[in-house]
Amino acid sequence: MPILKYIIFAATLVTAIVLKTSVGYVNEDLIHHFQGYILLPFLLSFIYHHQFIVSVVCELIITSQIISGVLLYPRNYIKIRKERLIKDLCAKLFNNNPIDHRVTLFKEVNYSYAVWRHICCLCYHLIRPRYFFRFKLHLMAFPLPGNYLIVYIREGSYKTSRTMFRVEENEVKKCQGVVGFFRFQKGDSAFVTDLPDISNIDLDKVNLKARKKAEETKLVLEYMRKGNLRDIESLKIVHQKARHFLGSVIYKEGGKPWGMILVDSNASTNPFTPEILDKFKIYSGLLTCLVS
Amino acid sequence: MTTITIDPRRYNEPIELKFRGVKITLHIPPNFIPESVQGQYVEKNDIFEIHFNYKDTEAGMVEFENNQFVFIVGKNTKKLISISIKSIKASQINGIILEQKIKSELPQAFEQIKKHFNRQVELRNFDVSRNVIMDGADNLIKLPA
Repeated sequence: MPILKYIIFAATLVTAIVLKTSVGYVNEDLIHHFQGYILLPFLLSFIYHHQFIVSVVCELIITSQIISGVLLYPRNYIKIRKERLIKDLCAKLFNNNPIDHRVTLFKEVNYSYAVWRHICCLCYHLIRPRYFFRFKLHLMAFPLPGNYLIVYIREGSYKTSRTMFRVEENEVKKCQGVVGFFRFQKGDSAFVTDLPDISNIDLDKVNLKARKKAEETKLVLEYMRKGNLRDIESLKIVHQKARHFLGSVIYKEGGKPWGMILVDSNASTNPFTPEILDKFKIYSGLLTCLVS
Repeated sequence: MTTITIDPRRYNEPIELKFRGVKITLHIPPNFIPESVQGQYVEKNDIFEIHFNYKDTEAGMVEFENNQFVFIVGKNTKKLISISIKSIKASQINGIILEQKIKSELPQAFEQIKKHFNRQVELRNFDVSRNVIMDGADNLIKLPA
């Protein structure tokens, strides 16, 4: 919620500045002038009688807000750097073809943050009738305890996706999706290629429990198996059913995983040539440097 | 103290594994390949310590210990940070005996510690570390007379 954070930050700062400026102008005539109003006379008389305290409190708020702004700035600066790096990586790997390929930087978050994000996601889909079907999907896929990988920065389609994947340090069975599996293995430049193409299949019409399975159902089952997804709801939540994946774990200082960088592609043939792998390794190394 | 530097390109072969019928190829991350190995006798504790230096630093924890060796691995990554060989002076071990000990008994200890792990990256890290020690044991070991 960066926008809300900035709005609160700006509102507090402006209020403190206005209050501090108004302290010198408040007198008894002004209080009498606003006598008919409900709250204003009380507020003005409070400022008039406690001028020193109000000034000190306002000054403290202004100073702390400015200092925190200065302290928060480097974090934003690093995020901008990461965004540029991801954009550059996408351009270098695939000559800026965001239709077939995309690059995502996933950040690993704890369970409480994942639940909060999921609730925000539910609210987001609830107030948009067009996306009500996604609300139902997300409602069914409430996060189970564990860490999650969330989309932090993405270059390509669905930039603000709220899809997240469960990861578990010691249990591969609890890891979700290809990205979850890569994170479990902690490999560098890990890749899986040639998953079946299910982009044209309507998943609502697929019956996984049918005794005699249609060709489409078989493809979906194969995609779920190879894509490390255990239920159809998880598959439906995923916006783009990519066919090729390439990922690396990004480490914080001290060897703790920070997240993952993942390249996914819808191309008909395996796009991960040795040159692409080499470039990808360089960029994932740069990201690790930026994170740590 | 003696140091052996490692060429990471020698150990950068991709690992291929199968998961749920899917072929997955992965490389060992650069921070899992040691840059150098140091051997040093620590008189205070009467141990010979083999220390692995990586690109990054990490706190260690004891993962495996028997009456001869102590294996310390990274707290988060579980990569091998150091191996301590116990009771050097107490057992009257000289350079030749230590080299023989490393070559004959250390591989078994490696096999035992590998049972604690199931990730390919960690297993590869142990293999690389073992190979480096086996190849350079004669250069690594220098005991005070």
